[in-house]
Amino acid sequence: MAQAEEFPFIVADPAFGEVSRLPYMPITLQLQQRSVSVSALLDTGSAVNVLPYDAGLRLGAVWERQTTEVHLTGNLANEPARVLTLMGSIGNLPSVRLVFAWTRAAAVPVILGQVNFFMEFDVCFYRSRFLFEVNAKSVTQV
Amino acid sequence: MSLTELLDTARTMCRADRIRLVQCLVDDLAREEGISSLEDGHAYPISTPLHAFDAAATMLAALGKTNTET
Repeated sequence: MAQAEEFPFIVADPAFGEVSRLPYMPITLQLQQRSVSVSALLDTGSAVNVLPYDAGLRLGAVWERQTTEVHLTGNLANEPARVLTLMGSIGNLPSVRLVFAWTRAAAVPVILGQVNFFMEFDVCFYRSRFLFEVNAKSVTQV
Repeated sequence: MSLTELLDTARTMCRADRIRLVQCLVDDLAREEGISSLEDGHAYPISTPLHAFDAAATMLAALGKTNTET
């Protein structure tokens, strides 16, 4: 099984061209027997992973069954959010369990943040080359 | 107006206006090249939940519980 995958920075808004390049990455999220493939934003400034409401519904998640509430900040502060644990697969890397703040907000990308995406993967950004590399975390922790 | 006349006029302007003039020209050129920078007065939403450490701690605890159960 691969230990590293490389992805390009994606132009998020053609009207802005190069300056809008962001580290979006394809990831398959799975809840029980259902899975969806999404483009997720790697966001080192985000304390948590964030899942938009519609993505959770597509996975068959039921809002009322998620009983652990969390309070987000910034633009998402006014929307309720609940904890949802999924399996995530990136390319040929080993699947990992990812915990998301499932927000009622719709106009938000899937965000991969410190808890727990960056705890599970080591990522190198090469912005000048419009590339980033995602590695399965080392077994030996520093 | 020739470039020489334009420069002479620009040099009579105050420092702040000269900086604004340069910014306007750079923005115009960038827009023409399809590499526009941030626009004045435009709202850019940021979805990043910065410093949402309370949520992070709750989520880690929930994840730990899930890992224990499976």
